[in-house]
Amino acid sequence: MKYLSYIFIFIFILISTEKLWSEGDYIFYPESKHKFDFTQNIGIGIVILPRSVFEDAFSQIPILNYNARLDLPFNLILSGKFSTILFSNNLSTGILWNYKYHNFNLGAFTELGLWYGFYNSEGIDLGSRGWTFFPGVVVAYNFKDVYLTIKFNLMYQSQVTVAGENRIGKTFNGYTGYSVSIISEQNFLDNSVFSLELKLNYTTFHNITWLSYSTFDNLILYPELTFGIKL
Amino acid sequence: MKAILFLILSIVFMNSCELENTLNYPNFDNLDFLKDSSPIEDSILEQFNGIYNITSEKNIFGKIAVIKASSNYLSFFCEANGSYIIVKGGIKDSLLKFEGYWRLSATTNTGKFTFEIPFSSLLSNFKNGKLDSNFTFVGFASTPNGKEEKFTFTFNKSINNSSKHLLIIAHRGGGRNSDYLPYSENSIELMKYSNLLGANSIEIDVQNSKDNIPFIYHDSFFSTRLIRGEFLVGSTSNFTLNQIKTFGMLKYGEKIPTLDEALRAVVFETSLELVWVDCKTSSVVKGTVEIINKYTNIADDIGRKVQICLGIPSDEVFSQFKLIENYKNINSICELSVDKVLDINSIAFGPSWTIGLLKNESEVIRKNDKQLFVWTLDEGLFIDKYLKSGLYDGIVTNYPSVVAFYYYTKYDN
Amino acid sequence: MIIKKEIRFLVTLLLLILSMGNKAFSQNDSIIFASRSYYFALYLNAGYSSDMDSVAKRMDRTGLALSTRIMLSSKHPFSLGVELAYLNISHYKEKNVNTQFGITDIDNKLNCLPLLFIVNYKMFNFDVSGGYGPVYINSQINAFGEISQSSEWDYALMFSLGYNFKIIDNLSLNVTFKYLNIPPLFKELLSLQAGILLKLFEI
Repeated sequence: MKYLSYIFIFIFILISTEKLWSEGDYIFYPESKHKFDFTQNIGIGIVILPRSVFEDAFSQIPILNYNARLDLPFNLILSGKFSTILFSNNLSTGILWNYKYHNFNLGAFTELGLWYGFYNSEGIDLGSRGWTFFPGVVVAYNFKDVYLTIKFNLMYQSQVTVAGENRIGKTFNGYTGYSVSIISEQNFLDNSVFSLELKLNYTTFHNITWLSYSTFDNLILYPELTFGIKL
Repeated sequence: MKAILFLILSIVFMNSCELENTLNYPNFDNLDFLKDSSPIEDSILEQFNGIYNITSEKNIFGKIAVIKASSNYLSFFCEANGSYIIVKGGIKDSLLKFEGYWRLSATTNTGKFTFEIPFSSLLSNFKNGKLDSNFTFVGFASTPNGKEEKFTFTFNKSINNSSKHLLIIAHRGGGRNSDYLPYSENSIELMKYSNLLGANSIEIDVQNSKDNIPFIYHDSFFSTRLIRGEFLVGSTSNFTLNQIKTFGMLKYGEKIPTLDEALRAVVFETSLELVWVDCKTSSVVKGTVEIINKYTNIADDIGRKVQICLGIPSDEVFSQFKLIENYKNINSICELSVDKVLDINSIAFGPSWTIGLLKNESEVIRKNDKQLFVWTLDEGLFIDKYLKSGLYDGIVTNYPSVVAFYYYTKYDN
Repeated sequence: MIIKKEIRFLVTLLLLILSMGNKAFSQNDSIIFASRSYYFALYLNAGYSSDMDSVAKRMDRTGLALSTRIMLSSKHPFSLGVELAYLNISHYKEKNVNTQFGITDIDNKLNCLPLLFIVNYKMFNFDVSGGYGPVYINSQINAFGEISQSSEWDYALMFSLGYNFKIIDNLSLNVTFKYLNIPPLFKELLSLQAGILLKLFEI
């Protein structure tokens, strides 16, 4: 949470605007477009791994994201997301309701998903899976050439692990933490639209990095930075 | 272009994410509550050993605790949240006084813990070599919100002296730096402290210096995660031992120990039953074997029962070990496979938990009179499952207090 | 890594000045790759660097700093480039030091070579830059009659503020104040350098 103050400073910096671009080219910004508009985005990012869990074995891992959005009537937006690092895969869908006030947009959303991980190598045969439930709120501002979206959501997750035929795992269902995202979407070369997302996950369990088998019960920071391009 | 600026800022602040945590532990040499008190004899302290019921408004520790005495200290291994309590005792004016701290293993929650009872109360409840169920004492724990909470401990039963002895093997000498213990991982201070955490054995890691002297250190390179040392960067084998010890220290300020110093401390200053010396590189095998042999002989000479075993985590170390003369007479623990365990006559097979419960392999192990260890189990459910299987002789853990709780309370082996 | 509060404040102030400056002098076209003339700007600087850590006072923490930077620039305020530098972090030299292993002479050195991707913003004659990239750390311990050398790769972040005095069309004098942070080593270096800025290869 202490980085939120710096996120607000970013907003002041982004006030300095330069180029106008076509309105409506966004995927994360929570304002309804035309009904049944379908938008897609693919992104590549990195997850910074906390040293207390991974020590010096790994400091970051790449992650691939696919996002899709379908605008519905009644200010509703249906979303879908798929993330993968190969050993761990996450598929979720969500629904967001939004309200526009001048250049502000506010919204409430919920995302429900499943995650699945596996590792078969050197005699190890591990699998892990669970569900995710992320309810949250979003506030966003349209700077005309930059769409800025800030999301806050709680994280509820579960995990079950299987080694070979044996179910041996940390089986839990419940609250694991929260995350804060700040996303900017803007024009780039030749009218393509790109998004930049900084997501700060404060969680006791980060399903993408389930292989670490962290047993810490503290909220640990797992930042993610993702660049995306609208398809 | 604002995105580029945002990107730079993101990178800056993402890379500034880790904060160094430290916990305040009591100085056991200078406790206010024990001021002017005298040490309590071991024979009196050991009367506290047993399994207790806990009653309290707050459920920090759960409903059950195992209490074990050890050289003027009592350790409580509790049911909930991986919690434990370590207190030092003193006697003054016929009052037994204890002060120390409580801790939740997987978090940084900790606080002060104190209690006192009249010596006569302990004596009157101790009959026929054990406590009776009337024995009760009340302890006070300082909680994170600053309040003092009351916890009542009532004796339930004695600790089971099970026929199947379990080696509770503390990882890295007692735990990792990221567990925020009072001492650095792989330090002599932590090795001597590990029994208070619930361990009766330890696993330590050994690297080689430039002048081929084995020293206790986990990684193959120096980093601020483990040490403080301005000029110690890069590979551990790039520096002589004198340079390492002069220009570096462990994270919490302890000296970086050599293997010789560590085993000397274990043999002469602890009652640990087994030391698993994990060779992190094949170049350190020869030097490690010499020191293991030295202290095995010393321990035999003074009647100290301790198994000092060379750990074999990789094929390179395995091959190097087989070049040692009489390698089959050297105690070793092999992580690789049952066949290799039998090949080099290891005392135990010690694989990772990730390959699952080894029902088939354990039969071969038993038939050949070997032991079965597993690493590293920290989660209560895992520990419960592995203990219930009855297959394992030793568990390597970062939370020995959790293993100790499950072992002493649940298994009538 | 802990970024000290005063450094965070300075960085924030710098970025606010940057944003206000951009607002006051906003360009119509924010994309630097739109049709315009480009040139390479070469910076060659030398000066002093100092480690901000004052814990080990016996060590000499001020030493030589060299850097060379090449930027792809245009009339647009933003430019991109790379910088290679050499910075001394610390030097400990002392004779007849009493240690647990006896008396020895000590001559230890620690320095770094960062190779950074740079984003630069021109404001009047000021250059405000940020950089990120790998850094090669080199250490030498000379003690107990033995010289041990070791090195490793880490990553570093850099912020700098420079000023250019134009002499002739393609040549300026440059003075730069730099802050380099190496998070894995908990190291922060300040550096003051002077040199020349050459405008080369106009396209």
